[in-house]
Amino acid sequence: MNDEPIMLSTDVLSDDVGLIAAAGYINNEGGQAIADAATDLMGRGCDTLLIDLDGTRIINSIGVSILLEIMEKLLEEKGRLAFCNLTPTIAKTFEIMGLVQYATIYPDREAARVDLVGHAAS
Amino acid sequence: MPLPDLLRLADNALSGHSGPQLPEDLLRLVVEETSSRAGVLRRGDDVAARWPRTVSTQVEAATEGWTEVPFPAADTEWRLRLLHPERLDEAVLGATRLGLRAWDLREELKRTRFDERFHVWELEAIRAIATGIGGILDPARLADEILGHLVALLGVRSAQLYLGTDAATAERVGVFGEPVLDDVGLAEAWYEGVSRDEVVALPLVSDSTRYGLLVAALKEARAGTEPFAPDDVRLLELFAVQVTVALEYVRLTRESLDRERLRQELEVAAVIQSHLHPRSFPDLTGWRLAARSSSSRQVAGDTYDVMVLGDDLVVTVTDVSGKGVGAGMIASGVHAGVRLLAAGSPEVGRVASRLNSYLAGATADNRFATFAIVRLRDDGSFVALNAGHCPVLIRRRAGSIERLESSGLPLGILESATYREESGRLEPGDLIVMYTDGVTEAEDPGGEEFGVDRVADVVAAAEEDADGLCNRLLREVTEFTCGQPLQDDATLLVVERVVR
Repeated sequence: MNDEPIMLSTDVLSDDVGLIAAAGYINNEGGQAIADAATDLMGRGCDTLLIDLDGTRIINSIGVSILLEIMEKLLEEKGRLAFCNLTPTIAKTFEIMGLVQYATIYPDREAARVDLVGHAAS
Repeated sequence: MPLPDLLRLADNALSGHSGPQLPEDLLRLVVEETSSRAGVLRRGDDVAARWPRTVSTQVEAATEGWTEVPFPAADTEWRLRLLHPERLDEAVLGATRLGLRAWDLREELKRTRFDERFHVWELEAIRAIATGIGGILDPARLADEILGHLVALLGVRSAQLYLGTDAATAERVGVFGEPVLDDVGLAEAWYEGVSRDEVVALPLVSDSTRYGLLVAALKEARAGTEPFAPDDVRLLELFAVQVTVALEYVRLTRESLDRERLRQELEVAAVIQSHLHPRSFPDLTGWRLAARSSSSRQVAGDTYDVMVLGDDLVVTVTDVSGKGVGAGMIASGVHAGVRLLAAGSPEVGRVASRLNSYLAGATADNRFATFAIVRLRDDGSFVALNAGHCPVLIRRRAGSIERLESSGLPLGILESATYREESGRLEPGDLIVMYTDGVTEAEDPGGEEFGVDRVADVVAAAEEDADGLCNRLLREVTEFTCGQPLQDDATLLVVERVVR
């Protein structure tokens, strides 16, 4: 097990749906990187954000609190937050920490894309 | 109408419907209501909101005419700063106070809810560890699983699991981030542990075993790191207990598997050894044979054999020093050696010498074997040899006993040892009794041994045939020991020349 620094990429899936793919340790630095990416996408008109955690095995409490803040901001803008590719441990953590109450969980990116954008990847 | 808006904002905050923008919304309304040129809202030293947003710290510092209104709070004070307010009445201040208090309550509620959920997360992690690592026997996988939970819950940047009996030879089986303990630090922490602001290391110790050390370091805060709190140490202690239990489970499981494997191997060895003994005796005209053998462990150091070589009948008994697998392996080697050598040479002395030479250099722990061999011809004449073994008894038909005593050292002690053959003749009705010291050294409850004389007395008085004599002798031994199991391997072989 390494310290797994965060690797981040973003994409705009449709006019109002943004994607953040995050792989690595979601701690204060990793969480802040996601928050910055979320702010950027929201500024570009994406009020629905999909965070793909494929490659993320560990998220700590600060990382969770940052995700909660992103969710809070989105809710204030009447937006939506979604996650996909969660490990069972992270899925359980999100359930316990209340993230799944307001966020949608998808098994993988394609399932999320079909539901959020309305069509599969071309 | 900003004042009603202010009150509505406070109401929203109290009911939990406000978002993170509330301080800015509140400040904006106050600035408008008081006709101020600008406003800054601080919480402690932090700026919570500025209105207009363009009012930088530098502008704030360079401008005169600020009115500051403190709003004392339980933990950190709010301070409202307004630039040239035209009116600032109690209604506005009251509404602002209400809004800020509502905001504080909202934040406190969020923190409390987060803390409550975090405690559930802690419990879930402990449960997941307890149930998830039970079947993991590989230390690296175990470390991976445990450190994953630990790093997540404690929010640390560095965690390691060291396993070993001491710091000098300990192996780092799991690592997350950059290790913080060097060799000296590891040695210092190994027995007593370490609890400092930036690092906590806890020894993993059960009642009977020291397993290693669990280290966590550099606890994250929202910005940078912060000292470990007592609750963090408590949580790490819980982890350490779980890790210790898991390691104890690994150790016990491995021991159990090793024991089971050994038991199975011993079973196989015992079966192999039992097949070395004659499964039935040759149907020889003029002779009747019987034997008994028992081992104090699964694999015996005793062995016996019966061979028909041409017209000759050859019988042997061997007792290797010690017990168990080691003795059994040597006994099996001697058994095979006797078979090969006796088939190639009619001289029992030569057989014994060759075996002695082989054994003298074959065992690292100076094991030896007592050995007796009798080669009988069909006319009853025999040649015998006793190498350090219990006296071979010859019972004549009339009941007298003759003893063939040892003529030399047991096999394997001295390579140059020599052995003397004895010869004689069995008449019809005579018999030969060969046995190992497991019979003669059987003890009564007082510690007295059964002894050769008692064996001789039983043999002399017996009227049974070879098989019956075996039964009688063992029965007498059992009565002597009051039914206690024998402490050593015991073997008995009787050769009777039948009356035609």
